[in-house]
Amino acid sequence: MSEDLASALKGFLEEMKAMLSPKIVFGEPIILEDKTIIPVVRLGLVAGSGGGKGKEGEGGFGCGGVGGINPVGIIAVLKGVAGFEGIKVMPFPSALGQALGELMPKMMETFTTMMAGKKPLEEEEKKKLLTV
Amino acid sequence: MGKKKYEGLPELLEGLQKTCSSLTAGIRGFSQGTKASRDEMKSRSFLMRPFAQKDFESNTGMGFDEWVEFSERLLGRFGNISAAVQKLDQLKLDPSRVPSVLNEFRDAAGPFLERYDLIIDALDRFANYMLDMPKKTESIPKPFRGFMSEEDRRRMVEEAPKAGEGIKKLITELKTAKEQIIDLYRFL
Repeated sequence: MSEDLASALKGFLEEMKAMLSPKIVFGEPIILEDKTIIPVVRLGLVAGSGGGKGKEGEGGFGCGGVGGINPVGIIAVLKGVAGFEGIKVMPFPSALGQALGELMPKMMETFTTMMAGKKPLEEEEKKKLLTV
Repeated sequence: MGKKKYEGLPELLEGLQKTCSSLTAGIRGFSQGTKASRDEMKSRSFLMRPFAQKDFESNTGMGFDEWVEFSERLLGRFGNISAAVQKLDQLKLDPSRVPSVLNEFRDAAGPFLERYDLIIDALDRFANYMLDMPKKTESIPKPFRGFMSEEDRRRMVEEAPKAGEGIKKLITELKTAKEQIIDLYRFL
């Protein structure tokens, strides 16, 4: 079971590493005429793991996590304004951040439905194409 | 006797070799373009990325990695077909050796012919997706537009239809290759 544990933990930590990149916290800069806006979000993550062994000596191990994203504000970099004066940090009021955080998954769902008009190929079809 | 039996074969081989050469360049370009799009996708905002990936997979039928794998397989397939054609061409219609090399050619071309309809449908789907990209880019809801820079959006609107046309051209060449391969089968 120790190998399973090591393998599961390794996979999980790799996923975590990928999730916790700076781009997760800072969105892609939005470049406007007179300023550049960088969205900032807060990432919430709950992780858990567990394992066990049955009568027959067979065991298993698993781990996982759930996360949530809440917009907390924006950083605005003003064009042509030198020094700290040119950088504005604008936090969202907590209620607004929370509302946006709740709204975002619904917007994402709508957006996904709208954008995805067709279905991917069946696995059998993919298999045929990938063995040409 | 050999010359009469294989009348028309040299011209057919020459034509197929040209098609294979052009196709190889086309598939290589397709593969490189798909890889570049995959890399660009990784640099997108974390908010946009899942949508863009899902949209791409739903509309083209496969994800970026699968398309890259497919294009490399297809490239290898035409490499094998081209090698068999070249080998046939070098035999100078020697009747004692042509039949066995024709069998090698059939083995090399078989997997392509068997999957031909599927390949054409999949590529056509990909091409149409690229051709529709400008309209689709404009239909992105406003709250999400900010997560793609104006420069990226402009480039997508300009470049995607060109890529779509390129894929349509690839489809036409694959159709030509299929006809030439079937034509060559009559010498089997």
